[in-house]
Amino acid sequence: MLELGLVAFGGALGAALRYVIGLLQVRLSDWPGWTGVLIANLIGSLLIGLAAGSADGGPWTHAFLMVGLCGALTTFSALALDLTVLIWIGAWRQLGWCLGLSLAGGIPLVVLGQALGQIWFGAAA
Amino acid sequence: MSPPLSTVAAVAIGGSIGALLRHGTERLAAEAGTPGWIAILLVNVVGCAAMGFSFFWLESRLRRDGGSRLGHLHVRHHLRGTRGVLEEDPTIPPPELARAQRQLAIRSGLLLTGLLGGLTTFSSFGLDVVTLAETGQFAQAGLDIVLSLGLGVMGILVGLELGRRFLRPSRS
Repeated sequence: MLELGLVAFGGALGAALRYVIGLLQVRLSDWPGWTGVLIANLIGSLLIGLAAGSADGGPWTHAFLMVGLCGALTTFSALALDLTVLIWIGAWRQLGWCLGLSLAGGIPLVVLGQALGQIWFGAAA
Repeated sequence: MSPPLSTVAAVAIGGSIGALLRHGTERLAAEAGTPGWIAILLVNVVGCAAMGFSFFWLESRLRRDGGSRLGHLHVRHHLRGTRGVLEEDPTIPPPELARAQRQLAIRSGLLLTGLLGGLTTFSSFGLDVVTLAETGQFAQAGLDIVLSLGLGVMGILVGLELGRRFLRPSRS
């Protein structure tokens, strides 16, 4: 029961945070609309790496942080919708940036987070 | 203009439901012996199809300021003449326009940004790819990337198409 509560709490927080990041991106920058989701996805990728690298596998780390917060802070459906629009309007450069930054940014950030998590919160720490 | 708290609340409620549904799917898959990355792939693709459908639904029904992103998609041909979705509708009184925009923001927040945004995930996908690669399962890692992106975009298109076929963009 605690586990489900933590997933729901993390999910609420993560989704709200992604929404606010999107609003701030529109308000503060003239970057294209898909960059809001990109920023949320990159932050969440680093964060889930940190959590995965830490030695603590408790419910706060797993259910709250990884499944709930990181899971909902990041999103795939909004990314896929952005990609579909970019494909449809033929904005190939932007499509390349969106795809490239998501993958070549997100996956290395998971690895970096994992390494930092092992150093900062690992079994030996 | 600050973000209306009701929209933030709607996003949070949707996000918690989406995260719980994803968590439940992961647990069911684990009990069935399905690899975790396949569970996340499945959740993401299903979530993308639901996103395509719901995006068409909410935008074609509630958008009144003429600025819908449906205009950047193939379904725009079927929305021609639907006032307020793809072009401005000067006959709508400003107070009604403001009310419609608020309604769209809250419902999109609950269903699209919250529920479907929270159901689907990028971070678990990324962690799965890294874990697969770290354990030497390079083919699965590559497959996860290709299938997630390919089927994700296809899911959006299928969802949009289903919406176009089965939802009437009618107005009262």
